[in-house]
Amino acid sequence: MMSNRDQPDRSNPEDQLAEFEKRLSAKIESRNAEDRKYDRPKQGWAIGMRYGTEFMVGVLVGAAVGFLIDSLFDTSPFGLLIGTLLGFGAGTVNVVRAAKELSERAKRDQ
Amino acid sequence: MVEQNPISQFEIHEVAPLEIAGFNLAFTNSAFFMLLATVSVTLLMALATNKRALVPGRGQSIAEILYGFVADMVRSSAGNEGLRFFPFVFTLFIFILAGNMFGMFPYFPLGIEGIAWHGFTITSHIIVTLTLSMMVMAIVVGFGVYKNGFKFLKLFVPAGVPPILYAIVTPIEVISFLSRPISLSVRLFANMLAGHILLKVFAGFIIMLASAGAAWGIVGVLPFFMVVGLTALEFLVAFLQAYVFAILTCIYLNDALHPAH
Repeated sequence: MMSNRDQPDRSNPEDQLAEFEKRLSAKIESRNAEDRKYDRPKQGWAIGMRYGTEFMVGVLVGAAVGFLIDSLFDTSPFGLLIGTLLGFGAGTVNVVRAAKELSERAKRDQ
Repeated sequence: MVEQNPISQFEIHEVAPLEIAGFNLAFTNSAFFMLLATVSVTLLMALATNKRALVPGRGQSIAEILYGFVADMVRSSAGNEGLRFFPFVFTLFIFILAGNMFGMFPYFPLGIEGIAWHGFTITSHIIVTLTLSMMVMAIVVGFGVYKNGFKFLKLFVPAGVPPILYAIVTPIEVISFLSRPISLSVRLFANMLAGHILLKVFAGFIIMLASAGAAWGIVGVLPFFMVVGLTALEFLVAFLQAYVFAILTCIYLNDALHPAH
């Protein structure tokens, strides 16, 4: 056995490498999961900002698109009205998407 | 003299005037900080990785951790296919991060008349963040159309919706898509702007209280602690916003790769 220590078994290096890779990635995975437990709460501010801007920007862009259509086709004020309404829809869609994506990531991280 | 106006930190100053064909192309403080971010990051990365040691030293570890961090981010939200955008996402992330972090350090000796020490946050200007987010959108649309052709438009026609509802759903999807670059840029810009104004305002309270005379100076300890706390918070925000920008870039790039949700 002593002589084996200096000369590692090279009978099948590919297997050994794969084995090592597996062990290493399992270790890294568990370590990362441990790490993430600590940095989760800090992101509250960023998540709040995310939802806020997603919704606000949806409404603003909807209104802007409506206004643009108004000024192009002389349909004032219906473009602005419909655009703002659709913008509310888009803002809500944005928020729902953001929430879905964040909860998916949270689930994956666990 | 200490500048009391909390907004003046965002002013653009010309460092080296230059005018070509009637356009003012002066080298400004904003350009200086962009250059500083680019050059320092490039130097850091080049120095850190030029040894290519099997067992990394300190510098190389930083570079490897950054690489792994961004690669994980790309892979988890855009899949392995998304790794072809890794250089872009990495550059974007590190540029914004460096810009935000340099913005936290207020004492750069920049040759501007009347200002001895200068600090500037490039990401506190919406034109910078909007340019970055437009770059992302240009790549999403360009690559999406190049790879999927007309199927890219499936992004606006989600499956499993009753046909009548497309009259409402498609405009909503289009507006939602158009709002992406704006929300991406406004979030970064607003965070940096608000944070730096807040810091300046609270720091201004200290000066005001100290110069009010009598015992008011002692009260000035309170805003001082506030500034210490806010500085820590700003460092966190500087990192988080760079992270959020990069991860949303990945998510949008994922749409370019797989337009049907």
